[in-house]
Amino acid sequence: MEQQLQNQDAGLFGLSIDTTGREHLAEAAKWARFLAIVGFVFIALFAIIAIAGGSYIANMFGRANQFNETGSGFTTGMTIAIIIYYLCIALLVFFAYLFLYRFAVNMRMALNGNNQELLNRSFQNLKILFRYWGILTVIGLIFFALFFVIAVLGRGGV
Amino acid sequence: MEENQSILELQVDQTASKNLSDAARWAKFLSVTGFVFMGLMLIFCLAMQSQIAGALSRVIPGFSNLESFGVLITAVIVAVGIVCLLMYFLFRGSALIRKGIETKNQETFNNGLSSLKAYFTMYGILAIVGLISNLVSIF
Repeated sequence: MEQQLQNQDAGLFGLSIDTTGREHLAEAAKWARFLAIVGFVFIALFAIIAIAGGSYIANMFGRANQFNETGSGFTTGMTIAIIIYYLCIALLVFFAYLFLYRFAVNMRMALNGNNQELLNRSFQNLKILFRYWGILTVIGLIFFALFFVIAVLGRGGV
Repeated sequence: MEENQSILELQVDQTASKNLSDAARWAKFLSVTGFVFMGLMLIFCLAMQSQIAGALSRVIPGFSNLESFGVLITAVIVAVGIVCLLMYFLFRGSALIRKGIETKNQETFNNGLSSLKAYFTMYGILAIVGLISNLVSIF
C-alpha cells in the first residue's frame, strides 16, 4: 500500500533520484560532511582562543589597574563582554555547520538505505541551512547599511 | 524494467520538492548577494588604490611601488574570480533545481544537482587549500 502511494506520488511529481542524481548527491554529501567536520574543529579552536585570549587580556589589564578598583572592574566587565560576543559568533556559525552535517549524514543514510524519510529530512536540513545563512546575510546587510549611513551623516555633520 | 527502477528509486515527493524549492530560493539569494559583494569589493579596491597603497606601504616595508600594488590587485582579482565561480555553481544549481521541479524535468533537475555537487566540491577543495596554507605558515 505504501509502495502504491509512493508510486502515485512519484507519478504526480515525476521526479526521482535516479542513478545520475544519486551520484551527484552522494558526492555533495561527502564534501558537505568534510566541510562540516572541519567547521566544527575550527569553531572549537576559535572558542578556546576567545576564552584564553580574553583571560590573558583581563589578566594584563588587572595587573595594570590593580590599584584602581573602578578601572579593573570596568576592564573585567569589558573582557567578559568581548568573550561572550566571540562565543555568540562561534555559536551562530556552529548551528550552520550542524545543519550542513545533518544534511550530509541524512543524505548518505538515505542513499545507502533507499529511505525516503531520511531523504526528505536531508533536504529539510539543506533548506534550513540556506535559510539560516540567508537571514544572517540580511541582518549583516542591514547593519552594514546602518553603519554606512551613520558614517556618511557623521562626515556630513563635520 | 523502467517501472521496476522507478519503484526502487527515491522519489522527489511533495515534501522533498517543497524543501528543495525553498533551499534553492535562498541559495539563489545568497549567490546573487555574493556576486554583488564581490563586484563592490573589486570596484572599491580599484577606486581606492592610492589610499590602500599608502596604508599598506606604512605597514609593509618595501611596499611602495606600482608593481607591488599590481601584484596585490592581481591577487584580489583571482580571489574574486574564485568566489564568483563558487557563487555561479550555487546560482546555476538553485535555478536548475527549481526549474526541474517546476517543469518536472528529470534532466534539468539532475543538472541542478550536478551544479550543487560542484559547489560543495569546490568549497571542499578551497577548504583543503586553506588548511594546507595555514599549516605551512604555522610550521
